[in-house]
Amino acid sequence: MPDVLVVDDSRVMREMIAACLRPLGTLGVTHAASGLEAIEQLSLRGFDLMVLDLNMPDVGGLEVVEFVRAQDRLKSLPILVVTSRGDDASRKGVLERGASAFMTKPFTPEALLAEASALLEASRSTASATAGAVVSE
Amino acid sequence: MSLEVDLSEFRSAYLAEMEELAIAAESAIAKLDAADSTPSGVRARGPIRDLLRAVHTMKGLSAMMNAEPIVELAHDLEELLRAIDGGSVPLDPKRLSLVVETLRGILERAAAMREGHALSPAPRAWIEGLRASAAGEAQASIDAVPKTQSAPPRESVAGFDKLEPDERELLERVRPGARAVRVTFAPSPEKAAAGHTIARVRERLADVMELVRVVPLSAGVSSNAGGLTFALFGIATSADDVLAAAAGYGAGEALAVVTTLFDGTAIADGGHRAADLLLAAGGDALALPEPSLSSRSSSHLRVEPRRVDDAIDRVSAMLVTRSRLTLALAKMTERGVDTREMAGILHDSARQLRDARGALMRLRMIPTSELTDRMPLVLKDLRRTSPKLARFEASGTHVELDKAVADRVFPALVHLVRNAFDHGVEEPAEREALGKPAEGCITAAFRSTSNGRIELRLSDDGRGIDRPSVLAAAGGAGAGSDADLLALLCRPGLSTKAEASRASGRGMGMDIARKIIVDELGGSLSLETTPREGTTFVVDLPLTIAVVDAFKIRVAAEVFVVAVAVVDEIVELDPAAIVALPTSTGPRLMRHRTGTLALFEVADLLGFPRADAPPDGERGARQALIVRKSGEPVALAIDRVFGQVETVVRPLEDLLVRVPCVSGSTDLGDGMPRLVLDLVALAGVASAKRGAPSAPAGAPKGAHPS
Repeated sequence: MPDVLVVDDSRVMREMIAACLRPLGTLGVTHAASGLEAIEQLSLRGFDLMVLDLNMPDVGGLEVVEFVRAQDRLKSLPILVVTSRGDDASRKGVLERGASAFMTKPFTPEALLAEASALLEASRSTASATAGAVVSE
Repeated sequence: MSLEVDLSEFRSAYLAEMEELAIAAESAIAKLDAADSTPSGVRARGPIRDLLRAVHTMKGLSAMMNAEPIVELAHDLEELLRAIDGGSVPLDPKRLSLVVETLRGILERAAAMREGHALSPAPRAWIEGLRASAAGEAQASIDAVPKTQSAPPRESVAGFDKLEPDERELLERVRPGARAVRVTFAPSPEKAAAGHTIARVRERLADVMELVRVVPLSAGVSSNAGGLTFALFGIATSADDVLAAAAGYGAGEALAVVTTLFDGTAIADGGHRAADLLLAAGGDALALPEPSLSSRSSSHLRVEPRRVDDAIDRVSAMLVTRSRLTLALAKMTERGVDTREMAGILHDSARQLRDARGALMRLRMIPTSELTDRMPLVLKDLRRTSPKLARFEASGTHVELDKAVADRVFPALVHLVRNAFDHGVEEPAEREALGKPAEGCITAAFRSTSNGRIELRLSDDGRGIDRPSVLAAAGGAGAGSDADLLALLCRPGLSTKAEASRASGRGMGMDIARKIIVDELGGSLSLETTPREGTTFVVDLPLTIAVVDAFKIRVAAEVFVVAVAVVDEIVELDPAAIVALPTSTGPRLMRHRTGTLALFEVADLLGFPRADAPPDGERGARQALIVRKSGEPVALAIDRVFGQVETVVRPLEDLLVRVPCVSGSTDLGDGMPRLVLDLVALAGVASAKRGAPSAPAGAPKGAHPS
C-alpha cells in the first residue's frame, strides 16, 4: 500500500488531491497543513510520494524540497509539486532543488493521477534496483 | 480501477473554506486598517502576508473548481498584494479600498456559486485597474471597480446583445456619477440634407460622451423608411437633451432616443454601493458580503450548524429508544424478572443521554466576539465617506450566546453601530469645540445577567438624541422619557435628518432593529441618552432561542405545543385503568405498569372545559403525557398528540400575558401563535393545588370508566 503525504494549507485542496489519487486503490494518505507539519511527518516515517503545495505559511514548499533532498533517507522520495498560476517563476527553482514533477492548478484528476502513478512506478523500480533506498512499504 | 473522480463533490467544502479564507482576509484587513489609523501609518508585514496567503489559497481552490472569474480576480489581487508586500508600491487608502472591493467581488462570486448562479466574468477594466495599481500607475483603479455590477444585462435594450462582452462590461461598470446610455439615430434623406449623417452624429456624440460602440439595427426595429437605426452605446455625464441634440434631435425627442442602461449618477464615490446594498438588505449585509457568522477563529472547529442539529436529533432519537427500553423492562418486571440492576443502568443511561444532548446544545454557543469582530470593518466602511472619526471598542466578548441568536441579532447590531456613527458621533471640529477627543468612541459591552440572559450596552460618546427634532419629525407627540423617545425612533419611516444619510438615516433601520430584537428574539431594547454626552442602547437578549423538538397536542380543541424533552412517555388512556378518587374534584388515578399515577386533566388545569371523548375526526383514545415533577411521574391527560415539529420558542415577555405554566409562544407555520406549555410547571401546579397523592402500591378496586 503506497503511503502518500499530501501537503497543502488548504484542507479542501488536500481532500481533493486525495480524491484524485483514489483510483490508485488502497492508499495511506497523510495530511500536512504546513511545511513544518510536512517536515515533521517526514521525520517520523517514510512515504512513497509527497504531493506538495509551494505557497504555505512559515516553511514553504521550496524549503520542504530543500529539506528532503538534504536527507540521505529521503533523497529518492518522489515529490510532486502542485501550485497555482503565477508561481511559474518558482517552477525552475523547485525543480532545480530536486522536485520530481510540477503541476499547476487547475489540473484534472486524471492528470494528477497519471503523474502520481508514474512517480510511484519509477520509484518502485528504482527501489528494487537500489534495494533499501526508498523507505516504507 | 475507476478513473471517475469528480471534484464537484467538493463544492460545498470549497465554499465553506472560501468563507473561512474570507474571514482570515477580513481580519488581516482589519489589522491593516488599524495600522492605517495610527499616526505613523506604519504597517506590519504580517497582515499583508496573511492576506496574500488567503487570496492565494482562494485562487488555487477556485482554479480546481473551475471558477475562472474568481481565479482571475484573485490572481491580480495577489499580484497587487505582492507588489505591496515587496514595497514596490505603497498601501495607500486607494489601494486598500481596491483590495477590499476586489475581495468583495471574489466573495460575491463565491456567493453566486453557492446559489447556483453563473459567475459574472471579472470586468477587464477591474483587472486592469488592479494591474495598474500593482504597477504603481496613476490610480484610476478605484474608479475601475464596478459600481453597478449587480444590475442585470439589459438584453431587452435593442442592440445590447450585439455588444462584445468587454463592451458590455464597460457599460455595466459605469463609473460613479456617469451613466451608460444608448442613443438611437435613424438616418433619413431629410436628416442627411440637414447634416445629420451617422458619421456626423457619431462625431458629435463622441464629443459629449464616451462612445463605446455603434451598432446598426436593421428592419422592424424602427419605422423609418430604410428600416435602419443605429444604436450608439456609451457612457455619458451629459443630460438627455444634450445627447439628443448631438444626434440631431430636438429636446422633445430626447425621451424617445436616449435610454439609460446603467445609472451610476446616484453613486457619488467608492464607498456608496456597499452601503446601499447594506441598507437595501435591511442592514443585513456585511462589510464583506455573505460570509455568515460561522466560526471564524482558526483555533476553533468549524462545524456546520446543521451537523450539530443532526447530532442533537440523533441523541433525541436515542432518548426515545431509551424510553422504549424502559417499557420493555417494565414488561419483564411484570413477568416477574428481577430487573432492578438493569433499571439502575437504564436510569444512568437516560441521564447520560440527557447530558449528551445538553453538551451538544452547548456546541451552538459562540463568543460574542464573533459579533463584535466585524464592527471595526463596518466603521471603516463608514469612515471612508465621512469626515467623522470613530473607533470601536468591545468588552465582555467572552460571554457566549447561541449561534442562532447571534445570527439573527447581528444585522440589528450593525444597524445600531451605524446609527451611533451617523447620528451620535459629531464631526471632529464639533467634538473638539466641546472638549471631547476628535475621535468618537462606540463601545459594545456584553455581560450575562443573573436571569440567564445577555445584556449588550451599545454606547457612543456623541451628541445624544435631539429630542426636539425627534418630536418634530414625529408630529409633535409628547416624548418625555427615554422610553417614549425610543418608541418614536422605532416608528417605521421616521427620519429626523432632512437629508437621509447613507448609513442609517433612512428611517427604516431602528424599526427593523427593534423588530429583530424584540419580536423575533424575545429580547428588549431600551435607550438612555444625554445631550452632548451620548446615547446608549441597552439590548437584552436570551442566551439561546430554543429551537426545540416539540409535540403538537390538542387539549379541549385547542392546539398547544410541548417540548419533547420533558415528556417521558405518551400513553393511550384506557378508561378501564382510570379511577376517580372520592373527592370529585381531585385528580384521578391511572394504573400504569406496576403502579398508579395521579392523572390530571390539562384542560382543568388551564381552566378549559374538559372533553373526555376525542374530538371528531381524531381516531383512537385520548392520551396522557407522563412527565416527571421532582422525579415523581405525573400523568397529564390531553386529547391527543398529533404531530412532532421543530420550532422556535419565543418567551412571553409581556407581564400582562405572562401565564404560569406557559413557557412561550411559537408559530407552527400557519401564522397562528401557539402557546408552549411548560408541562413540568403544570404538573407542579397540579400537585400543589390538589395535593398529589403518592402512588399507592395498587389501584383501588372498582375502577370505572370516566
